[in-house]
Amino acid sequence: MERDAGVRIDRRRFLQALAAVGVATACGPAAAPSATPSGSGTAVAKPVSIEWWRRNYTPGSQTAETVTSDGAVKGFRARNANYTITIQGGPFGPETDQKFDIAILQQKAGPDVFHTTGGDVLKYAAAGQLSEPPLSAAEKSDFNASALTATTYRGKVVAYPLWIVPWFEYINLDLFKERGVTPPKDGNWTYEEFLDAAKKLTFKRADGKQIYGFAHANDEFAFMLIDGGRLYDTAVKTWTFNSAEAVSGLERWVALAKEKVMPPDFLTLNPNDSQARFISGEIAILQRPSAMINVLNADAKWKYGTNWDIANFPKGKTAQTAWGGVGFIAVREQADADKKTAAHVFAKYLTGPDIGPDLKAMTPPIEYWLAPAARTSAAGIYGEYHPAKAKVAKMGSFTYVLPNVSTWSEIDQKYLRPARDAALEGKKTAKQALDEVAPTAQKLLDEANK
Amino acid sequence: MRAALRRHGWSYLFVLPTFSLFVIFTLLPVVQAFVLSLQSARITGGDWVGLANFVTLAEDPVFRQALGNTVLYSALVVAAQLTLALVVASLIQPLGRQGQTFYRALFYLPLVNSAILVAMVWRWIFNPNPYGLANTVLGALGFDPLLWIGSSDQALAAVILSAVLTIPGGGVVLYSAAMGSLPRELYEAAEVEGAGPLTKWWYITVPLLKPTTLYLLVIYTILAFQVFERVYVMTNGGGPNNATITIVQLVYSTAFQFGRYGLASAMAVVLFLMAVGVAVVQFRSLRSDVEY
Amino acid sequence: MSSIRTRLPVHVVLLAAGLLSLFPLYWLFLTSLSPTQYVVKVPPEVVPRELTLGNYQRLFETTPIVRWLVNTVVIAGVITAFHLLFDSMAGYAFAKRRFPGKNVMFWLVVSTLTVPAQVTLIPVFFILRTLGLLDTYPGVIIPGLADVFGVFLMKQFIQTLPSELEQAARLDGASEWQVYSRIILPLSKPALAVLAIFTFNRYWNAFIFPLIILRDPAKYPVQVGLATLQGEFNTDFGMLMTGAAVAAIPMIVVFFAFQRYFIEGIRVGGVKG
Repeated sequence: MERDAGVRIDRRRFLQALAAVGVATACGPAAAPSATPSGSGTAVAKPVSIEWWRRNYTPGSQTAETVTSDGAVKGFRARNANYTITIQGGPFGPETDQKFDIAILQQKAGPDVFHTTGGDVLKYAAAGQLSEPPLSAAEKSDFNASALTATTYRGKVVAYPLWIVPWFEYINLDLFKERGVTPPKDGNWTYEEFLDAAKKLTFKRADGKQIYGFAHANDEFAFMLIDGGRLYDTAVKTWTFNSAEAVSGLERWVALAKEKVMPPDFLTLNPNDSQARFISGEIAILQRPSAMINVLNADAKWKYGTNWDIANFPKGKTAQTAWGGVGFIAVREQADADKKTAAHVFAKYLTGPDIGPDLKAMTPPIEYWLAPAARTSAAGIYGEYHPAKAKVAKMGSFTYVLPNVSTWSEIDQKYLRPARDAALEGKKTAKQALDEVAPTAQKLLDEANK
Repeated sequence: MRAALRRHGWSYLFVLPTFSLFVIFTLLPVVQAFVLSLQSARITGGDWVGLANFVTLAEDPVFRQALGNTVLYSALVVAAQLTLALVVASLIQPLGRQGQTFYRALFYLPLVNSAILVAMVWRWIFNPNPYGLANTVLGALGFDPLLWIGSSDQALAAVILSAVLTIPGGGVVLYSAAMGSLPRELYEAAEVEGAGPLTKWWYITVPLLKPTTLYLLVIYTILAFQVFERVYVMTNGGGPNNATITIVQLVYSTAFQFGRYGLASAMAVVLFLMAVGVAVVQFRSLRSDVEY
Repeated sequence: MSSIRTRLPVHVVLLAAGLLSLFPLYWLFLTSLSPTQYVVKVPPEVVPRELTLGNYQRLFETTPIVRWLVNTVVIAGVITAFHLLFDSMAGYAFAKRRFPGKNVMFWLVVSTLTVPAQVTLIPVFFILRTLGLLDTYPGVIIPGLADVFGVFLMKQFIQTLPSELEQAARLDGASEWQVYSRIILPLSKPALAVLAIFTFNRYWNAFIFPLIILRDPAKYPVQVGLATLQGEFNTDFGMLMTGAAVAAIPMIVVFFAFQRYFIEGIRVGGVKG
């Protein structure tokens, strides 16, 4: 079934397109419409239209994804007026992932370019559905190394890393002041200092309100990495998450549970819950990725530097580490060479250094990057949006990105998380919990590597 | 042959629209799914593996946990829901017309909420913090707060409680509708013989309601076996340490998140066999040729 | 008949139970009127401190909620209407008529109720694709007509109607269709009303199926539309709850429209109240 991926400009987009051209001509040299994105050979001058699939895009709404996507199309068309881009959205969640899967894997039709995360990349690559990005050596070295590894399938890079989302600690400065705890200098602290702070920050006020030192969301592996524990060996062939380092990391986490510095429902907090608790002032230190910065900035009661700040992951026995996630832009392998080339040009724009400044220059300015870019040359602008983001931008160098394994979701949700829960509840020792999971995890890893 | 058609033609005509759509959009997909259970299918298709998926399930401790949880949940919740629906509808029935209308609306209205929303409220009620509603009530009664959904020991109990403590508006409405059709004469006759309200209820109402009871029993059991959204929202999928994992939750994650359609279909087959087995027993016990 | 006094404990119990069950709905509307945006208050306030229409404003100004509601009314309405007809027809046949293959058909129908929808989702998707019905309203509506809860319901109810009525009608010269339409159907009003309410409710809340089948956001029904308000990073909860509150209203309307049919029962002897 072929969808008509042709020009579907409704009136709104038509006006936007006109405006984009108008902006381009009015701004003079800053936005010359010649094809400047490098590397993919000569730009196609004839009109090409491609389809972009973006989760959470809802035309007409004001969600961050919608605003930045519309802006991205506008910015791109200002530079490449012969391209038309239609965006297909869907609510964030596994059902939409399903929908994408069905289109890409089963129908071998669908988007020309699309967002993807984690293990999906490998799934699509294994089905031969991804077109290899034409990246020069210079471009490759511009990308974050572990992000590139995460999108390497059988030795070939199969998608463009878009952004890296590091996890770090949000700290409530008011609570720190109230208890006389000094916030970590430059955001650096060891695990011992962190635990000490968390203990001091767990207290009951005179009015009966209970404050807890620390909280996190239930989908994390937090401290299991800080002593050097890693899920796999470098070849991603052996499961190593029951190593002494991983066990030690889990024990550090269990210690937090034993000291009761976390709220009693810490095993049930989903990301939104954990955020809500921090905002209501019940949690002194919250471990979350960069998205909460926007939420805090939007709230009049929270002033960066006065009420809140951010700090790095506590440091364990090894070098500074942080847990991180990656988003990718992928281009579908297809027969239509023009569309494929166009899709690569667009993908490079979406992940490259030009899009940030382009969108910042629009009226009103759009903050395109929702997390630090995976390309060093594009990363700077994220820091320019806000001083907290400037700190986050520096975390890329030590953020550990999980290598992608197609069976990871199953290992994680079905086996590893319950094992973690059992240890945190005190039902099993850390070593027991991780040892029990290891054989099953290895089996699933083998399957992914088949 | 033609005589048979003439005799039964209308019958087939009456079932034709529903049944033909059923065959295309339900039966065929179910058969396909069952066929899939014999393959190692991921979304791109797979190889035939015979009963290997079922062996995998039998050996999977997580699936066994899900089975156990689902059966326990179903047994308790269905019994509670059926009883509550019958009792509440019976309490409403003797009231005047205005009373009936008011209460039916009162008990039905909660159903307009999406199940997800209701589960969110229960999630908050069973919040492990001392300010969670359940804990506040416990505190007022002088007890210590419990961990509820925050503990792998208590989470399943919390989920079951949330279902048992909900008045099933659908069942109330259905029983009400059925009770409205019951013939008055039987009751009048009984009253003449000196029967009190409880006697009338037990010996006339309840037996006459057998068809409705059977329907509700079968449907509630099927729905309970398929419990998913409530658990998903209240306990983020499987609860701490898989304490609340259910069969359909596992089907969902196995199919949609892990991409193993063959295995997920095998789970559905197991669920199917269980549920049909139970339904057969239910039909046998509540068989009735009641007309009124 | 009985005085209010003897009924008082009954009223107290019923009221308490009913109001408790209504609590989620109350909380929903309360949150929609509170100044929440990204954060739902934890713990939620039971008595509101501040009321505002800001969420409603944002909902109607920045999302196509009206479009979503219209779509859902069309989808759920059409499905319900067809179910009222088809399910009563099939229910009547299963309840009152004998024909070869009846038991097999009935058991096929009931046994497939046990299969969770997640499992048949993808096969149905491919059937619709073959029929060219992907991303169309019929593609969402037609599979909805294949769901068989209603047939089971109608069968159980119609089974209780006295056979004499049909026989009498036939003796009077009524055709088979007239027996169905003039005798069975009017007497089944309470069951039909229940069926209408349940079916409308079920399809009003449909989410996964329309999500997978539809691509054009202009066709999204309300639950899919509301799901798109959830962000990868942030969610405007105030607007989401408000959307859910707005979405609850048509179902309340449908309930009140149909529930008066419950009172109309039958009495043996054929005299309708």
